[in-house]
Amino acid sequence: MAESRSAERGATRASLLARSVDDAALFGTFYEHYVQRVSVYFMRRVFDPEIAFDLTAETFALALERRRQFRGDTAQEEQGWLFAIARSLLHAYWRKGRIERAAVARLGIERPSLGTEDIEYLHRQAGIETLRERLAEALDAVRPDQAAAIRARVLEERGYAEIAADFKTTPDVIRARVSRGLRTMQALLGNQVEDVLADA
Amino acid sequence: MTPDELPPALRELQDRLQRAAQRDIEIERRVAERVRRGRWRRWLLVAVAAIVSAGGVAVAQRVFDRKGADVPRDRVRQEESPAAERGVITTSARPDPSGGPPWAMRVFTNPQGLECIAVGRLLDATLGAYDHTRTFRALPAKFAGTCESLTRVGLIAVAHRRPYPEPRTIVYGLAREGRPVRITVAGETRTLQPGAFGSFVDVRAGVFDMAGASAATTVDGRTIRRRLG
Repeated sequence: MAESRSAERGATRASLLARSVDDAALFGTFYEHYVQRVSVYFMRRVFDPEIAFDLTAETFALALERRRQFRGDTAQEEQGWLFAIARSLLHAYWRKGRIERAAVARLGIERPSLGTEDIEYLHRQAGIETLRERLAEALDAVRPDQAAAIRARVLEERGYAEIAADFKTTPDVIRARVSRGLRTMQALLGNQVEDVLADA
Repeated sequence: MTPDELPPALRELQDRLQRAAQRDIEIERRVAERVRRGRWRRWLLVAVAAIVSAGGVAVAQRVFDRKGADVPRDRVRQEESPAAERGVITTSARPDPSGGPPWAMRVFTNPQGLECIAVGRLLDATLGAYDHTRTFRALPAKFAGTCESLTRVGLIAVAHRRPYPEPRTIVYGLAREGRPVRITVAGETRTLQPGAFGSFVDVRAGVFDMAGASAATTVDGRTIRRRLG
């Protein structure tokens, strides 16, 4: 699979996104080409399959909505354009502590529920297991309340409501601690997670 | 990557996005179609409007707006005095029963210091008259009017009967104190409230026998009645 992706990357195929303006099936193909890279990009930054999945869905929903604004012609250009959307959503998540789902809602897309198979896939593709040790080290650099929230959410995989009850606060506060703590960790783990595009 | 390699939720997301894309394309197609139809409708509307308005303008010009030379000075009646200044009172304008330009007054002072009045159709801020060919001719700048001393008589009232292009009887004048003026023509009395400078204009369809016709108002607490016949 990696070989075929490399071959595609090197090729100068026409943009699927540009051609999907009049062909819904081509948007499906566009999704197939990038969904793994986009979901890995998010997983390696938020370490949470649910959040990574929501951010992935919103990224593709925005790409669908805005595809008529895309002015590129090549695969490289569409990839850059797509990841610009992904980066913007990620930073918004870190800043606000909540995920933007407006485009998904506007398009009337019902969010599929994640099953065990999906969560395992996202962990596997992102190589989260190999990152866990580094993740634990990086937690030391984060504020204690944020580190506790991240540990409960990411390492122990507990729900926000349950964590909030333990900390005697609201789920929103926990979400904000997790997102801000992850942003701090991003700086430490940067070398390992910033290579998603190069890996792809 | 093929859809088969994706886990269920990501595969389901692909299907839902693809359906959303299909809906989006369909909406875009309908909008484009509506815009195209709208363009045709707009052009059709513009074309119809152009034909109708061109026809309307042509008819209107034929009926009302033909313009010719000014009224020759040798046709000015002897008893009328030359105007010393222009002074069309547009607020005195009253509609003609058949439509078209309204009737309005010109008020001015002659070299002897008398108040003079003239009446005509007001077209493009020009006072004039239609001849029997329905051609509008502006009253000459030095056109005369009926002149009297308003200070002395208190009420100036003139009846003007025109058999063409449509028969009309116009009674017009000035009331010094601007009090209501009662105009009786052929047994029918109308009461007008004078406008600027005490001016009033009454337009009736038909050419009437003016025997017994009069205009009356109150000046200095007295009723002033002027015979129009």
